[in-house]
Amino acid sequence: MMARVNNRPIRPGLSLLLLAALAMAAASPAVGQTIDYGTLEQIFGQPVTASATGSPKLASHVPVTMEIITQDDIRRSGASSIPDILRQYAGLDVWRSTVAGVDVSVRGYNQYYSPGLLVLVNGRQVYLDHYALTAWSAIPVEMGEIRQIEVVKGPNTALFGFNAVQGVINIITYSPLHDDIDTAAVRVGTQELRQVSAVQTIHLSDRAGVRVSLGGTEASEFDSPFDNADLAAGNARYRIDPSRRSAAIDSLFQVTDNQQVGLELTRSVARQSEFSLSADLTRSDYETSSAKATWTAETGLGLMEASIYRNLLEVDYVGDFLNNYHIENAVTAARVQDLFRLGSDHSFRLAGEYRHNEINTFPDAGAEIGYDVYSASAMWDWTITDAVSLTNAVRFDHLQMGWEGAVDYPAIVTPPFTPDKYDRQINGINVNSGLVVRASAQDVVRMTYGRGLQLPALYELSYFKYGALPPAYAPLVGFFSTGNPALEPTVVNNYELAWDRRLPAWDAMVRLAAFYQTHDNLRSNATSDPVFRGNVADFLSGNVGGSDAWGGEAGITGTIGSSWRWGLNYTYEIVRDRLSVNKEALYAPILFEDGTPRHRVNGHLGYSDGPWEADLFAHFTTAYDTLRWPFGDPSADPPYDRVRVPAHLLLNGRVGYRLSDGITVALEGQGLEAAQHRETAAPPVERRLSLSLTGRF
Amino acid sequence: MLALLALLALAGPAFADVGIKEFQIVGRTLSMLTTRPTGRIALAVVYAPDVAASRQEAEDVARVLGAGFAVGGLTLAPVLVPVDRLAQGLDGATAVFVTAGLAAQQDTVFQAAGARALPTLTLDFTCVRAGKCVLALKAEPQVEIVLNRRAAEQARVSFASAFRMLVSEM
Repeated sequence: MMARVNNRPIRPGLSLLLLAALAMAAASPAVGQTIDYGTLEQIFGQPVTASATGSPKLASHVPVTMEIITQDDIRRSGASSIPDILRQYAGLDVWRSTVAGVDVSVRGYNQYYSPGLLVLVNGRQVYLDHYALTAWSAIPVEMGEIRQIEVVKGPNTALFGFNAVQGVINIITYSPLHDDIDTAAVRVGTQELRQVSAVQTIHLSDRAGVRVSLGGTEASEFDSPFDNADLAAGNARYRIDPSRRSAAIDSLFQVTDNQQVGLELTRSVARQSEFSLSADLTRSDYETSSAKATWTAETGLGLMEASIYRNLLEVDYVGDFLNNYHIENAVTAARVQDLFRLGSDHSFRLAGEYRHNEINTFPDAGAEIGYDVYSASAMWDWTITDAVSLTNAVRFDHLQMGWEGAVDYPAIVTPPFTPDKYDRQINGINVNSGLVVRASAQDVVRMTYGRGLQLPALYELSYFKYGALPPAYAPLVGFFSTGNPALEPTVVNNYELAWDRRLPAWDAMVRLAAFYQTHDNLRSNATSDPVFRGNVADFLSGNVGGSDAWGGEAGITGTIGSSWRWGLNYTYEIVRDRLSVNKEALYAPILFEDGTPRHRVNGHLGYSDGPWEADLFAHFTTAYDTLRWPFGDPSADPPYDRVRVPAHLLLNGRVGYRLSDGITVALEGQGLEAAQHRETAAPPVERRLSLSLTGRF
Repeated sequence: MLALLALLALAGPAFADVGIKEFQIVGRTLSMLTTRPTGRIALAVVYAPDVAASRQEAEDVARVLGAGFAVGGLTLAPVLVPVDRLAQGLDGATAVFVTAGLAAQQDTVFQAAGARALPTLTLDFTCVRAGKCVLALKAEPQVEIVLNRRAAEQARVSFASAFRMLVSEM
């Protein structure tokens, strides 16, 4: 346990819980069975999601702008990784730096180790708190077991809490109880790709189901050249061949007519090269494991859910900046919620959550820092008329930070922050509100507002590195690079107007969205303005100003008959940084204004005929800048290179042939248009081709 | 059975509102009941022989469902029940489908079904609005389901909360 001081009662939370109790006492009885997404989707002819409000919603009724990517979409993409699927959707940016190293952002603000995007599998976070990143290859889920990927754009923190500020990607798998998914797939390809995946569902009875999934990948890293000899000398040793192992067991038991219990265990190991937040190549070994238990019950007080999970991460980094770091991060999250209706027009969701997060100090071990978060949230969904609904959600988070243990630093090194500085509290209010107007049978208009808080990543709070400076820096003799427990969370506000229109004559759907975002208290892990402590320069994590963004998305998807499918979307975005320091992005990769492409266009054309299925995807993005550590003269000013990623067109595609009812062979390709293209400051991404054989039994 | 054979013999052109899609929804909606039926179940199709629209719809239902219509984990087996023979016709049924044109008899059907805790489903939204059917649905151009909460309570049937969140309740 962390040393914690001043753990005070959470009065606002208690108030909400009291309100919840009163409301539930007045609620009409609601009995029944738990959520069966597959059956609900079949009834209503469209995906159902709970990622928007915590309450089941039809995709066309959600009070947020979101994409729901179905299993059919996943299969047709021909992608062997989730980010390659996401690339085709409006407002999503994907930066691939290596075979397995990839970063995803929503509506710009991309950076290496992209933070701010909350990634979940069935509501369990797989986003990693130590650097606030998502190691996509370490997510213990196989493509064949995914029912849908739900992408919420913009802050959705009133439901998911801290860090869901850019958006949420919730990966929903098939139910072990309600669905029967048995698949096996092998894939071989360029870069010596060898990938196997198997998913088996076992229905022990009509009241007990278990799904087991296993996956493994081996490949060779790109061997595209570095831009110059300095980069090759600095980076080449950190180029390793990626590998991945993953196993998961998910189970669901109908213990009574009204209650279900679920248990889930996962494990993943991913070893890869990736561009780290220091904009240099780094060898990363991720090991994750998790255990989760859920209980769901239809009660007289509504649909009640309780869950608890624990995520464990061990990661080793070897690079010039992340130099032999061993990091252990454990997250425990417990949550209870009740979903109920009052009358016929009002739905409510009330929830309480506890989260404990801890990490060892690094590079020097010996202590742990962490925090406890107590949260209370409420959602009210009001069906004003058949055509108009209003959803409001609010969440209060109370965070108590703490420090335990001691680090044995050399006598001449005195860290600027003593453990008592970690006795700190952060309180935050997150809000989401959405008005949905179904103006006609063909038109849906959404007006939404979201306010979310993004916590500093654990390393930003606790990191402490020191070293000597060469004589050229005299009178300075040394440097600190220091995490800062006093960092303020980043606050993101999002205002949005969106319009969906069906075009029955074209069997098509048009989606338009315009948004404006403000980001305040942006953070940088080390600003360009060091704090001088005697003859030591301290590059201190800090809040470094803000940034604003506005833009729009336009898309159309449709089908022609039962054979053709097509789509086109366009994203326009302008970002204006308001940095108070670090304007030249000297020491940290904050470069949002020039790092966000102004225009992105995606196109899709697909055709099915009997056993044949063919899909071609095009992705175009205009140029953007990114940063790179040059490995040249360390005294260069500024030390980071600004690298221009040129405008580029990507062609991805798949041709599949169904050999029999369950067996499909497919030829897939990513980056078909050229042998290489550049997405980041890393060496170019090579064309990837693969051949897959998939069986569904 | 005699009634079914007689109706099939008299069957005319299909009524446009009754089709496979509607009964796919009916079957899956029944699996949203809190006491989830499984396997082969009897769906009592209540009709008034002397009302053309009602008789026509019953014929269409019988044709669509045939000897048994599999949807999800259910097989819907239609049993045509003349409205004047409810007492015998509803025995053994798991759910009741109320045909159109039964306005005068909807209360009778609702009471008889309620006495057996059977859900009453229909394509006739006026029946639900009148509180004499539990649930009405249509499949085209978009799926629409209306649930009468009070009628459900009176009939002692209940649906999963998740399902209720997605339908229009009145």
